[in-house]
Amino acid sequence: MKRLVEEAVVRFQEPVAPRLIYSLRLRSPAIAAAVRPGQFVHIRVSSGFDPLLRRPISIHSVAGEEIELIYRVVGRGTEILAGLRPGAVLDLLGPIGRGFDLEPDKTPLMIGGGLGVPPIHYLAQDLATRGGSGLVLLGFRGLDDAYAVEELEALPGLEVKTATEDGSLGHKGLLTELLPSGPELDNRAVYACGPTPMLAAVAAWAEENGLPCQVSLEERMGCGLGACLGCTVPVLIDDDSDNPIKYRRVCTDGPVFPASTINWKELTGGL
Amino acid sequence: MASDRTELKRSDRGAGPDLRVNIGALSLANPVMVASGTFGYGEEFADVCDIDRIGAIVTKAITLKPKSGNPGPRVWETPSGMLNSIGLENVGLERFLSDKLPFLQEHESRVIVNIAAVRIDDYARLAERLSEAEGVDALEVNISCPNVKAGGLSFGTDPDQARAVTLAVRAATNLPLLIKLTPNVTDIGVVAEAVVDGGADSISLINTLVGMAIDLEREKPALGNIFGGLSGPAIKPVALACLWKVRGRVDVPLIGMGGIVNGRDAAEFLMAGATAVQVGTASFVEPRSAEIVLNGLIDYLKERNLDSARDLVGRIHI
Repeated sequence: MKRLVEEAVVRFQEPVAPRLIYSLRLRSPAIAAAVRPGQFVHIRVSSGFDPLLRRPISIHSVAGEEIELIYRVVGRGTEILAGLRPGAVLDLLGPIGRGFDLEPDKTPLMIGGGLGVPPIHYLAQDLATRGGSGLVLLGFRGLDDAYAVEELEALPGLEVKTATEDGSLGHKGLLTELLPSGPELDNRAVYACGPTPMLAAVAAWAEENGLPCQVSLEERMGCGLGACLGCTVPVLIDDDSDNPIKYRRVCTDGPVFPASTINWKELTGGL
Repeated sequence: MASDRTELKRSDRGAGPDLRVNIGALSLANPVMVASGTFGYGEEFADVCDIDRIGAIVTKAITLKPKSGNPGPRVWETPSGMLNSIGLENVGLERFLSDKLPFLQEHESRVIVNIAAVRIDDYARLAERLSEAEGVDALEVNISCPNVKAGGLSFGTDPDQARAVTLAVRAATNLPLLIKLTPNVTDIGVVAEAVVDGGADSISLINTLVGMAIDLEREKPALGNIFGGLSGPAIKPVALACLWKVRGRVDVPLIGMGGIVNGRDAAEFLMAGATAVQVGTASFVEPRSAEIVLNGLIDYLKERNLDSARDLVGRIHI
């Protein structure tokens, strides 16, 4: 899919959870028209060269010419974003990446943990708009980190279950404790985004149960265009594969990957 | 950013200054190239950039066999810069020739293939094969690789090894030969003299500076490889100092790079003695940086009433 550079205009920004989580809505017509669930935009946070690198942030929702991003302030770049007021202009590169590819004739199980919820929210919203149905599992540390739950619960066709580690919302415990079993597994395909250990657990569970599974990964990123090879993740290579290179680019080959292709041992080894 | 936008919107530049420069037998439409490792094999930027305006595209470093590169994280932001430890991941010579070169052949920019190896014989083999390929206009030799036969020290840090690589590549090709120098040496002038002695037509400098960062959250070195190469605006002063030193020691045309983000940066390098420049890290921030640098350079020449880019080269005398 063709990427472009667009000057987006901030429409609205507000905190959506006490722990420095913000929703940023931007008027970005060209990107809004082209983007698909699971894709992201690569944002230039400074008009100069410091902070240097663009910040990749997944799309949370699209409405007409507007895109919505949800992010947490974790460093200099996101701190700058959080300070933007309506009318500010933001240079976006996008839409970037391979998004989710819904398996035909399978019921979606959509799993979003922590800051991984936005692409899952977009996927679920898109599915509901087209009359689809599925199960959404959300996990957060606690109520102070939670967002998008009510919006998802309000969408038709979706069953939504939430877990928080401290029990302040929904089930007390890990999101993985909500994973279905028995007949609820029939004909399911899994789509997940969240912290890497969570994705590794979901991938293993999906494999044990013979379910197709797509995961959205993230890495520190350079160009966002597939040129610099900075954002790579380790993959499993067959001995007879004609491409012996053991890494794939999150920005171009991903961010969504079939879970069975990822070298989870190496990906989680550094954590 | 406002000035960037103006640089791109202005399409009618009138008769304008003469931008042509020559690097030995390599004639360029303009002195702006894109640096190896920052522009892939060209096609990656085709959506968002008018690549035909770029004087030359220097490809990602090619090794004889495909290389997977380093475990991540491979990139990390630093003040006005970044660290990278990609580890020379590339598709290898055969897939470069079959899958990547055809796209480059269809475009106006000159094609400079960067080559990397850990054995002198492999450098020579790469040079030989690429000389036979259509559409390759010059070779840039990355000598920052470890010489495995000499205890792993990089070719570029030892003048004798640097000369030996240059001699071997020179013997294997008639293509214009650029040797890319590393700043991580005590005396870059000595290395420059050695590669010219070995037959280099030109020297490009500088490659990245060695650096590292600490990830406070994970309580570990930020990069998977621990050490990485520092690039971006932060290194521009080091790049200019290296250029100035080398200029005083050799007579071949020089290609300057290190933190160039706009036309005025490029003008500084030309004035300090470079015949051409390479734009690297800037492309990650603004994909159309090479064009912006070119347009800014044109504006600078007009401002100073200079008729050609060549008038700027080495304009400052000690």
